[in-house]
Amino acid sequence: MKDRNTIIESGMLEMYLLGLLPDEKVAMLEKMLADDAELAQKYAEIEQDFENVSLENAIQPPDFIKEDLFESIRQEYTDVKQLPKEAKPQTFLWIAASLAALFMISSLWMFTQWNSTKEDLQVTQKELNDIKSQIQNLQTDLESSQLLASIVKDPNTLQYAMKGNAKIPGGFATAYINHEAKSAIVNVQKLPELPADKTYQMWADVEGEMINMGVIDKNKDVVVMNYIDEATSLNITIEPKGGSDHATVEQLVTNVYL
Amino acid sequence: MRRFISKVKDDSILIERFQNRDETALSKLYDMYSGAIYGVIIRMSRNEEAAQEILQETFIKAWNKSHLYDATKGKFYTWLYRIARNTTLNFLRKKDNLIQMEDLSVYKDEGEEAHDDLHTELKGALAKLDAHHQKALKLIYFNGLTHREAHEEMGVPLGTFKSYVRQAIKKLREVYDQESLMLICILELLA
Repeated sequence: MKDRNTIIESGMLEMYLLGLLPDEKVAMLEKMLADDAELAQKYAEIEQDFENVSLENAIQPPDFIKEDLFESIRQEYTDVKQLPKEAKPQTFLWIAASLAALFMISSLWMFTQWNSTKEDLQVTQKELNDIKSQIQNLQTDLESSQLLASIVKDPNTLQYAMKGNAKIPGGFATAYINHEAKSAIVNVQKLPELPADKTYQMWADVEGEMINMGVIDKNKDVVVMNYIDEATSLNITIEPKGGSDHATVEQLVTNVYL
Repeated sequence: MRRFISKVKDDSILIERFQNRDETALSKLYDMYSGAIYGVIIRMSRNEEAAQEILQETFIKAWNKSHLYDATKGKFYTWLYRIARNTTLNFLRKKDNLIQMEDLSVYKDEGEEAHDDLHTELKGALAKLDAHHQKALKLIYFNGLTHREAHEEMGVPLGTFKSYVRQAIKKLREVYDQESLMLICILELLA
């Protein structure tokens, strides 16, 4: 009861009516109005009295304001109704066109990327193959060098210098023969290059007969030849490509007696 | 009494229709309240042209925010009054800002002059109150002043001003009670 009178006397009800009450007090007062019928009745009276005062002091507005009001409300309706109808398909069209354009651009970009990646891959593969072949060559060179080194280092290895004759002026080969290991290799680095249809071939002279020691592969610096027992001399001839069964003695370029 | 209950019921149906975007309900509510609201706006703004725009804006806002009106918290007219009051005060604030940027002397006392031309003198029960009670209610209700602004305007302490308002509201109730009693007596005599 005290609360109710305090509220009435404080002027909160008319403040609330005028919209001047702070938000926190509004919530409190609304709860009290909901709970206290007598307070609510008091407020309803004040509301009614203020409404009566307003009605007694009413001033008739010009008629056109009502017309303007309804025109403006209907305008809002048509704006609301028309916008989706006209704007939506256009919006969707724009969205669709943008998406299509985006898709095309991204596809083109991806295609370019794919092509460039493909080219890159080919280049990489070629480089890889080159490297592989270089490694292969290095491996071969290493094997040759290791073979040469192992044979040269061996105290049982005999070294023969084979100086070239007038057919290959300035050319020479070095043969390494190891009778213990029964191995024969020849360094052909200094033998001059031959036409493509010709090849060097090495022979061992055993009791007057030329025994084939093998065709010299000029791609290698050191070539392993067949070791022939009881050879009395080593001979190198120029033969047709692929080698011959019998030595062409006229084409002898160098020889050395063992 | 039965008639009163029936009127309240009709009003609540009308407001429900208004909240359901029924234009005929809006039209009826406009006819019922536009004069009362316009009377408030024109006294607060002291500018006929602006008052007409504000009145239209008030009803547009009410129409667009009708879902926010809660009948359990008060009368529809009170809700509409608050919209009108806030819309008018916003207009006045904007106008004040504009005036501050221009020459103040041009606009000095313009409001009071306009006020006189608009014939907005108070009528009815309010006019029957003592001058200081009348002024106190006029300042807060029709001129849109806060209690603090109004007590300064009247040149009395805030506490005194608040008691003026309280007394004015009590007196107003007495006047309306007397009028109702007289009306009932007349009706009884006629019957």
